[in-house]
Amino acid sequence: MVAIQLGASRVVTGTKIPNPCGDVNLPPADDRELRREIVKCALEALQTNLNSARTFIPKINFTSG
Amino acid sequence: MSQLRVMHFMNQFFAGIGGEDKADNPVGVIDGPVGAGKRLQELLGKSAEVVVTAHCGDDYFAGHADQAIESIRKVAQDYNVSLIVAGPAFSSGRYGFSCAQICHAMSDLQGVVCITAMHPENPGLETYRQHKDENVYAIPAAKSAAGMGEALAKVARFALKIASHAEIGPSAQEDYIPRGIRKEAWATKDGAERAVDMLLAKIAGEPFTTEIPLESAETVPFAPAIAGLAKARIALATSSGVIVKGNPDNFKAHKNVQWKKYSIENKDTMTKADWDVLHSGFNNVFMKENPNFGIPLDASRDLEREGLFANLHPYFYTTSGCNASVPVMKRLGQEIVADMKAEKVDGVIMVST
Repeated sequence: MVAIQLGASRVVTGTKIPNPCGDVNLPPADDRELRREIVKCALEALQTNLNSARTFIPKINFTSG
Repeated sequence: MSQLRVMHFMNQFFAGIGGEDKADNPVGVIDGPVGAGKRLQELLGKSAEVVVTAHCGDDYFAGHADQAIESIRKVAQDYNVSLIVAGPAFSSGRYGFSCAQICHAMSDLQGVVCITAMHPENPGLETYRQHKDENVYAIPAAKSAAGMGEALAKVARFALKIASHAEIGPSAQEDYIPRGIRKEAWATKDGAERAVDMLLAKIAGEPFTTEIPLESAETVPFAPAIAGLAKARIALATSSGVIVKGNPDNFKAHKNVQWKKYSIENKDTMTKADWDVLHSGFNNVFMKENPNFGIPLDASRDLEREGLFANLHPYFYTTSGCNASVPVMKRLGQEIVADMKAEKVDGVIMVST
């Protein structure tokens, strides 16, 4: 939301501010898999043409806390 | 009318010291007007005298702003000036930045007015708009020095108005770039009536002037999509402050003013043995433990091997973006992008915190 307000055009939702590309609650292999999905989503965003700013949501489970 | 004493600030080029080869020159002082300053003096006539010219190399100022400002402040005080003219800087980013910084820094000198001139798209104006100093004015100028004559005429006209102690009206009525300062003024109709008048004008498609312009963040055009990602070079970047272990480049955890690129060639993952995190805007503990959270190298290597894109750029780009000033960050962004373009990077994944 903040990123869009500040003028970023392709925004991928990360997990949390201290660990945007990962999840400290996951075992290492799952954490790496989650990061892979986020980067993959960013690559998809790079291939998408835009008419307006857009948020892309990776296929991951967003854990709480 | 008393005669105004004027200091003219110029970069090394316009002061006739030299080009890029002299961009590292520290602050220098010349009595009286120099170069375009001589034309400025002619235009000012007897109302104002350019008593001194201060000059500074663009790169020197960029790297030593505090020392440069201190030296220039001393010149302004020694020569007892009451008007400072900086530029015109046209569309030169470094020069515009130094002009705006100097005007801001001198604005607390008692009884001093500062005038600079630059193109309305010069990034130096971020500083001008950010500080909103009552006694600093930026005059719009052309993109290049071909507009020198016109810019000097406008500056001189404005300076003469200052010299005559005439009241300077809002930017809509005067020839200066809006600063974002709102002042109280008497109106003949109350706010509700004025708002309805504006609404009716808007509906009728007639022009109207808002009293509360929205502060709009600069709009950045959307980069086109990458057509053939399989042939693309992708770079990783971050504002989370992932740095080399031990911080050999002296990054600051907040109000940082630099960026670096670090090699990740032949590396498959980011380890806490090699990398550190410095950013006072979030709890760094987790990212220090696993720097892939900020620079997702391990996952990017996986996808590179799978052929989703051609190759990962052998450097990642980093800065620490906590409490940083917008003009500084804008400059860092421009420098990073210039480097990426020179290195033929097609797309960037930028992790922010």
